[in-house]
Amino acid sequence: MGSIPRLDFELTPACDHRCAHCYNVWTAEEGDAQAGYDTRGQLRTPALLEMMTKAVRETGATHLTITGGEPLLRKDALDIIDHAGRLAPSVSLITNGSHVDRDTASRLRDARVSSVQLTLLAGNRELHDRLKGAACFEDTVRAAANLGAAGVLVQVCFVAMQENWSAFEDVLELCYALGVRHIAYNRMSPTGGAIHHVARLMPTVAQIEHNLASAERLGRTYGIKVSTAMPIPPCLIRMERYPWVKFGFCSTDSEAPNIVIDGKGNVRSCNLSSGILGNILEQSWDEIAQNPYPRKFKRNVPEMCRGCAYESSCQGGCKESAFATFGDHAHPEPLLWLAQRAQFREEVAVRVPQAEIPLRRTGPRRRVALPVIA
Amino acid sequence: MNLKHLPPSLLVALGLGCEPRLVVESDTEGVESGDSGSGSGGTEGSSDSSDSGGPGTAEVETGPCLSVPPEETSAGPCLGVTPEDSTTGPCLIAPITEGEPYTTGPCLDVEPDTTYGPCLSTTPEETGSSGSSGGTQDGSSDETFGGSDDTGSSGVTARAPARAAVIERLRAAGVLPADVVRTLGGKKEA
Repeated sequence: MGSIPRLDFELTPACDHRCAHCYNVWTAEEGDAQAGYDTRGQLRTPALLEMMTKAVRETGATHLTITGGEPLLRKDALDIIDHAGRLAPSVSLITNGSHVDRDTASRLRDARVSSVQLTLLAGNRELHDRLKGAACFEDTVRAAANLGAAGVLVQVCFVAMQENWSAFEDVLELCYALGVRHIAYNRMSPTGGAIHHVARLMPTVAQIEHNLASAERLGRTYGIKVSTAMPIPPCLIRMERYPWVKFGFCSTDSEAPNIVIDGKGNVRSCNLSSGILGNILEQSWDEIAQNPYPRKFKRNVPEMCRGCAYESSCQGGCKESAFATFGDHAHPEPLLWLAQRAQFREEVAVRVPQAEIPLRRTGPRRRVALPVIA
Repeated sequence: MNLKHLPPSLLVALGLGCEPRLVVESDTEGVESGDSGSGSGGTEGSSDSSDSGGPGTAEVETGPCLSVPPEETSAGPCLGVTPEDSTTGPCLIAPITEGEPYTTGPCLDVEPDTTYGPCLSTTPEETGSSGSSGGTQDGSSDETFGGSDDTGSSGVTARAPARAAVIERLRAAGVLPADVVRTLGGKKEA
C-alpha cells in the first residue's frame, strides 16, 4: 500500500450522547469480541498535531475526516481542525451537532472545512432525543442552520433502525427545509456496544427497501442526494430500482481504504474495526501498510458468499459487524443473518446479551490493551 | 475444477444447483445448515423445498449451498433461482415483492465507492453538483431536479413543495425553533 487518498482521525473517545447504536469500538463491553480497546493516554495538543502531520505526510492523504467520539468536546478541537485544513485540501467533520454555534460554524468555514456530517434520527425531537439519549434535536437542527448560514456544506446521516426507519421521510423533508442536500443513509452497523442492542434495533430488509424507495422518490423531488455507506448486500435488495441512491461498499484493502487513526496514533483498517495495524508515532506508514490484516480480511468472506459474483466487492456486507457480534469475520453479518433467520432476534439475544436499558452504557469497562494484529 | 469457484446460478444452469433457500453447509462454523427445513428462516424463494439436501447426500460440492445431487434439484441455488432464469446474468436479483422467488440478472457495479468514501464517513460532493437549487423562499415551487446524475439514471422532473412553506409548517408543528427559522431565512443552502 503506498499513498492513500484519505485518513480519518478520531480526536477523542468521549461523547456526550448515549446512542445505543454507537458503533465506536471502545464502547464494547467485557466479554465482547471487540472488548478491551484501550483509550487511555490520548495525545495532548502538540503531540497530536505532530502525529497528524506525520500521518498525512507519509500517507499522502488529501482528504481528512475529523471524528470521534465527539471531536468538538476537545478544547483544542478547532485548533486541530485548523491544522488539518493546512495539511490537506479537503477536510470534513463528523459531529453529534450539540456544539456547533454560530461562532463555531464560522471557525469551521475559516478552517476550510468542506463538509460537516450531523446525525438526524427522526423528524421530531421526541424520537430523536430518545434514541440519542440526549436532548439534542434542536441543537442539531440549529447546527445545520448555522453551518448553512456560514456557507459550510452539511451532510445528514440517518441511521436506520427498527425504531426509527419509518421516520426517514420526515428526515428527508426536514433536510429539505434546512437546505441540506446530502444524506448518508446508514442501516445500523452493530459494532462496539451496539451489539447489545442489535436484536431490538436492527432493521429488516423490507424496512430498508421501504427507505430506499423513499430516497428514490423524495430524494429526487427535494434534490437531496442519498448515499449508503454501510454496505447493503445486493442479494438482499434490488439496487437497480434505486438509481438515485449511491451505494457504497466496504473499502478495506481497496485503493481508497478507510484508514482510521485514533487519538493515540493507533491505526486501524476502518472505524468499525478494533484491530490495531500499528502506531503511526512509532512506525512508518510503509511499515504499517505491510500489515496483512486488510488483505486477509478482504478474502475472508462468509462461506455462503463464495462463488457469488459480488464476492470480492460486496464481501458479504460488513464483516467487522460480523466479528463484533459473532466473533468471526466469516460469519454472516447481522443484517445478512437477519434476512435468513426468522428467529434472528431471539437467536442473537441468546448469543449476545441484550441490554435492558435502551441506551449506551456509561459505566466503567474493563480495559485491556489489545495486541497489535498481524 | 473446483465448482466452489463458480457462481451459484451457473451451477444451477449446469444442473448442479441446490436447496432453494439461503442455507450454508452444515459444517460452517456458527451457521446452522437448515438442512431439514426446521424453520431456519431464509424464506425467500420458492417453497418447493424437498429438503432433500440433508447431510450425507452430498455428491456434488456446490459452494455455499447444501450439496445435493443434480437430479434432486428442483429449484435454483440458495435463494431459489430457477435454471431457466439464469440466462440473463450471473447475479442474484432480489424479488420486488416479498415472498417471490429470486431471479438472476446482470451484475451491477458494487465496487468500493471511493467518491463517497466507505463506511460511515461519506464525502458529499460540493454544492451545486446535484442539479438542484435547494428550493425557494418565496413560495414558488416550480423546480426541476434530476437530469443526468452520476449514477447514470435518467432524470425526472418533480414538483417540490415550496421550501418556505415547509419551513413554516415545521415551525408551526414545533419542529423548527424560531431562531432556526430566522437563520434559515437568511441563507437558503446548507
